[in-house]
Amino acid sequence: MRPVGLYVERQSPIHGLDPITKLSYAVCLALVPFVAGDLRITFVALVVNLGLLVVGRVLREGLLALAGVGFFLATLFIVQGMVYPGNATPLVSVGPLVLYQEGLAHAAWLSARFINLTLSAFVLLFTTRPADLVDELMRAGLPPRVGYVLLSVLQIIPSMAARVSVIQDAQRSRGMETEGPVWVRMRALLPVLGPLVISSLVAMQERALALEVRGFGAPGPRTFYRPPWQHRLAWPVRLAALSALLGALVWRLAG
Amino acid sequence: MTPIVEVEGLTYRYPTGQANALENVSFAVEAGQLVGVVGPNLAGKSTLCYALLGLVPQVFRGQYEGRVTVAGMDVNRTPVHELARRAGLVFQNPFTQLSGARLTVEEEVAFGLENFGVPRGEMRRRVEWAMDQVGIVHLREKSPFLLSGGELQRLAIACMLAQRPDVLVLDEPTSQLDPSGTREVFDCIARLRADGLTVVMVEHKLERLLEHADRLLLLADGRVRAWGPPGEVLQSGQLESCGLALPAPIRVAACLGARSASGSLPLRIEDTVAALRVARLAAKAGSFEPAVRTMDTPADREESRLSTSRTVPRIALRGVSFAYPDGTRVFQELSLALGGVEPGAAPEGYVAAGAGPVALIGENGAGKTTLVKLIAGLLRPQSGEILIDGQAIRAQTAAQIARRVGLVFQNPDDQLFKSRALEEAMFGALNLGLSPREAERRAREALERVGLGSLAEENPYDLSLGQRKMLALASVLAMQTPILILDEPTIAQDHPGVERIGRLVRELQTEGRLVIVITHDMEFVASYCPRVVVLARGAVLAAGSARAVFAQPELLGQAGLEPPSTLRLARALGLSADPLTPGEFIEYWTGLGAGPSDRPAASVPPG
Repeated sequence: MRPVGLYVERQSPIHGLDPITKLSYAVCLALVPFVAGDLRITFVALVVNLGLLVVGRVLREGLLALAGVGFFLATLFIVQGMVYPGNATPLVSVGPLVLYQEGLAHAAWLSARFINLTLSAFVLLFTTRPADLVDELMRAGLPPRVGYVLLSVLQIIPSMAARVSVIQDAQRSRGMETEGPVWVRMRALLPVLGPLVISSLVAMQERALALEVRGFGAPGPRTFYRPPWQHRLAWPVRLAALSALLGALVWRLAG
Repeated sequence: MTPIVEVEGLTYRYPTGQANALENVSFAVEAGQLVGVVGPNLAGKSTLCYALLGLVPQVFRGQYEGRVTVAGMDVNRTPVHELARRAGLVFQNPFTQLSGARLTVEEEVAFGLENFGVPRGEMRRRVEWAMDQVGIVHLREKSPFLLSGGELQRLAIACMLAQRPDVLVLDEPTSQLDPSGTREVFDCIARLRADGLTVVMVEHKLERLLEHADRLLLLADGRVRAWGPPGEVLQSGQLESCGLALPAPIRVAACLGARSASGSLPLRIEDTVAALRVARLAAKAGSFEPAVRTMDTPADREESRLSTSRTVPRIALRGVSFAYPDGTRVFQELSLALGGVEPGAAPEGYVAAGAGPVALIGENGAGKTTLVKLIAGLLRPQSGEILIDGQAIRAQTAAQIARRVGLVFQNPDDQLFKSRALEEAMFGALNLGLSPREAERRAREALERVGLGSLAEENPYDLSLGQRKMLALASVLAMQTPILILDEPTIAQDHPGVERIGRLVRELQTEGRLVIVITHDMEFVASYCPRVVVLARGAVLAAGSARAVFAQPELLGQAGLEPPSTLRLARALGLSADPLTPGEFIEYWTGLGAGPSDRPAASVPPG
């Protein structure tokens, strides 16, 4: 059963950093280009993010995931190249379509910020277990009920996916065809969704009872089994990320 | 001594119920006692468990009368989370007891302690202790979602133990476990009782329960039918009149008129041994006459008459290797013949089970379900070939294979989705392309065979779990496949349900269909499955007649199994025969005559 999320199990200095520090970093670095409003700063942020993906040993996964949004970026270039309000200088023409230099430049600027935002998120998501992140947020003050909902969704989605496969098997063993043309697959949907929904509702009720007897409704402060995540670079990294954001603001105001 | 659990005149009806789930139930449990709760399906056993933790009525609401106190707390007035500090409940389904929010086993065990605000140091000590008590320390880093059924059940118990309750309520905690897993749970409970834990345990495995229980509570239709020391409850005859099966050694003692020194029926196998020895001495002196001479017929003697040997096995696995995508290897070069071909006549390199219904046995995780999924085409081997009636199934879809191989899953809720039982029973037959009329005819016939004929118009989810399992079986029966595979059919069935399935297995055999049963119920195997395949860690340890396999206790031990209790009784008495059922034991015993070393005139045929 594969867990939900982009987390890649590796040993690296980035994996060892605590989730809150990585979250702080990702938020600050994602905002830097928007605050600075300068392509050169954006380029620097991109290089830093790529460097951290290398250190985190997840560059390949990061680039592959980025390729997934390639279609969206290509569309952005075409649309902006054609209809950007400041378009004046034709650059490329393909049949009746003309792409303008100003529109393409604007698309490049938008893309750079988008890619930087995505890579900042990747630094966090590829190197952090979602459950660890939620756990640390709960320790930092996120209400336990909100934390539980987030964590259980992360865990239960893959378990439901595994259950879909079991139900499919159970129906195939009663002669239901699931392989072949689209209409055959569509017809197989109800016999799979029916048991999935009904059994999920039953399981939800049983789980609610089990949570009651496991003290979920108990008042008073709760404790944590795992010790707080401590890393000697936690505060330096957080301060550096915040400084970068403030620096971008100064750059913008000074520029 | 002041009781730690007191139930006085408890009457309860669910908000949507037509009748009371519990009716005027009263009993009291003293600290350190183990109370076994038994009864047929729909007796109110689970409802009673909920009532002891305050879930009834606090969560379920409904009409509630009477008074229940646990550890001095009135469950109707004390919040469930307060009760949960002193009492724990292990539910029937361990999967839904998971928090669903923890990544590892040890974190899952700690979940309740975190909620109660237990300091980290104390929490770690308790988690270690609880995992050690149920033998799951080695699983500490594993995801709870990846555990087997047996491992999950032990995790569920550990979660409750870590909360250090004074009273532990267990609702069928061994229903998913193999014999060794069941023994581990009972051993664990025995250790905890030695530390003063009070246990209330709903359990179908009466033989184990009688060994450990101080008191027995028999419920039927929500009412207390018997309450008291197990010997008294046994003696009252109420267990049988409520449709429960007595453990095989007790049935033997009852039929042979053997009694313990106190004059009551012997509860444990060693008591039965002593009682039978005394009875034998009495027989020598001419003062003892057995009460009954015949009871039942063991599987192999009934079925071997009906089976015809074939030259081509119904199912052949030729050099099959299989590993799951995560790399877990299950089978390596497995060659196995099922259905028809006798062990001596099997092609070279094959292990053959022989003619007649086959039981696939082995501990949790041995590969039993994987094997039948390969046969049904739901999994594909990485190498090797699977043949059904001599034809390779490689090119066929699972749905095509389902015309010849019907597979009934362990959990009926993986299949049921229609709003009427009849429509559900027709689903498989319609998938085969039959006309609605023919499908309905077959479905009605199948529903009759599983005892649901009068419930054809009911919504499947209004049926009990045992009935839903019968419905899933009916829907596959209606497909009339020449091969039928049943995965743990006896779980959640009461005694009449188990007997019905047993009779069905025999009927299908007489119709010339091959029946394969995956089960942990060795008494069922002894009675209804003359052929056995023992799996352990993906390898076939033994295959052939049930009698021959059960006669090898060391081999069974390697597979985490135990012989049927009748055979254990015979071994404990030093008998040289291998009786598999009470009837066979009695036949042998009454023919044994006077001396323990005498052979009977007509001995039980070897396997």
